[in-house]
Amino acid sequence: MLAPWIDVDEAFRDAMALRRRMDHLLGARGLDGRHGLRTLPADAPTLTFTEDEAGWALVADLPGVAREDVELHVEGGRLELGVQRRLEVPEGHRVRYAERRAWTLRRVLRLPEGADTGAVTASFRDGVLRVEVPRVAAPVARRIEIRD
Amino acid sequence: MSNEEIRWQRPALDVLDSDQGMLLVLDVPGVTPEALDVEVEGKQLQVRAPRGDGSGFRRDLQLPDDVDADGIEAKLSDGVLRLTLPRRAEAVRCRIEVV
Repeated sequence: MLAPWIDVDEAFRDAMALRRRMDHLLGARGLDGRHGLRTLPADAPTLTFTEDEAGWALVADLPGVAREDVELHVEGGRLELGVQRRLEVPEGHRVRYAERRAWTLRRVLRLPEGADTGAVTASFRDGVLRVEVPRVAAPVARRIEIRD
Repeated sequence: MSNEEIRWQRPALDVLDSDQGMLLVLDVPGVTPEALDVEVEGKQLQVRAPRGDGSGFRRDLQLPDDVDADGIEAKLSDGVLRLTLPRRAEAVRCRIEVV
């Protein structure tokens, strides 16, 4: 159900994906500079969009992301999502093997036609962000009395 | 839902170590503690983490000889599973006093 969501940042995202792929192919360090070892990249998460009668939902897997590192804004029919995943090595530990990546995600999405932009809600549980965008309530049909 | 019907994916893994032991970190977003299944048999570590939406995370790992698999501890928070395995007592390097 991608159609109603227009991704303003598509080009930017593609560029980042390409860069990650290049990093991988070249066996380079990740953007965080943390990985000296060969790693399998775990890319910044993909967003999943669904639609039903009640409205739309955006779901993103953000494991290990702190709540304060998730920023969500709705303004002028646009939804802006900014997420940063930091990876910290606990004190006294050495990294032997690393597939997990630190990343930064920034997406600007145009909300679909009929979205109730004032009623957007979000939850973040077990590392999963879920943004709910309800539809504007359809006007209730009512019979108009015709006066004489 | 039986395990056969789940679409499994391989969770990203980090392996860290310290003087005390080994730390395995796996990304398992959307997994609740009740659904998590971590089993150790000999040196085989098996992680099964269904998400309840038909998908889940599955990974099998071979543990090194110098960790105590029975002492494994699992902690799940914010979609990240942390498994700590203490180093075997006999494997801890100790300083020998020369008299």
